[in-house]
Amino acid sequence: MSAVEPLQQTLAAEHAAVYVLGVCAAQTSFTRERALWKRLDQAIGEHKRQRDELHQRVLELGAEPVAAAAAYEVPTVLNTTARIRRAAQGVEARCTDTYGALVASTEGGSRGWAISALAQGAVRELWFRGSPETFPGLS
Amino acid sequence: MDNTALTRRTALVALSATLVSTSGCSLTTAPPSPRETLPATQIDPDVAVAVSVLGRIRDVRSRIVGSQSGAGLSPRALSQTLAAHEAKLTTAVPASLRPTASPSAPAHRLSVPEVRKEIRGLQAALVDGAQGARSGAFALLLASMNAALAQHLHPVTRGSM
Repeated sequence: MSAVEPLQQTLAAEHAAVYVLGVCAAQTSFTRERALWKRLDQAIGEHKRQRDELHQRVLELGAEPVAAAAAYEVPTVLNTTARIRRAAQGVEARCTDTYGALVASTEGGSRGWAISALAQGAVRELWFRGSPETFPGLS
Repeated sequence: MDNTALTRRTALVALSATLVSTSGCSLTTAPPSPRETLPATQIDPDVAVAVSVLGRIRDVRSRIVGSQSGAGLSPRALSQTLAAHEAKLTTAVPASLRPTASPSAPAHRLSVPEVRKEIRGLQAALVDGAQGARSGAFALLLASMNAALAQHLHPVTRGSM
């Protein structure tokens, strides 16, 4: 596997996360579920930042960054707060697994980025999960 | 979303195999040898990091016992996580290299800021170890431990939902 391939896979995961979390936020009442809405909004912002950083890293390696799909499958019907929370947690769990794979398959600056992303992703997962894990990113 | 993410079993089996094989030691067949008799050149850098981190975890865990809870930080839950990390590393480090010294207990009951400082120090060691690890599986394990500690510090640093 080339050095750029793990980064492309992580970038693809960020595209999906931004989309699905956006749907979660759209289905969350800003008035009645403001705390959840704010967490979703914050998570989307962080995923967009990481998406842009990965995009730049891929460009610097001389490759064409993978584009976002037109749409992504949303995990479930998001008609309750509990389902929205579970969907958001699922997004973050998959992303932390992806960051973990990036840690294992890279070195140097890319690994450093992935180590930081894994910790930040684990904290975001905690927002929606509620309790800490023993080995985030190792599922 | 990701087809290449390592499973926990894959990562830990690879880690154990890497640490044991590259150190020239075996958990099951080699006779135990005192740590001081092993020439430094025979110890794989990843094994050295694992031994160092293992000692650090034991020390931090002993220091936070009975410390104050507050601001969302639970020393008990933190201690359980550290115990799980310690157990995982213990199985991966050759028996002859495991730290045997008793960890030092603090002279006083640590406050929440002091616990946070201890954990952040351990996190720095985990990040350094993950960054420099030769084995990708070992790097992932250390990075995962760092992420778990970040979750414990989260309620203190960012507030809860």
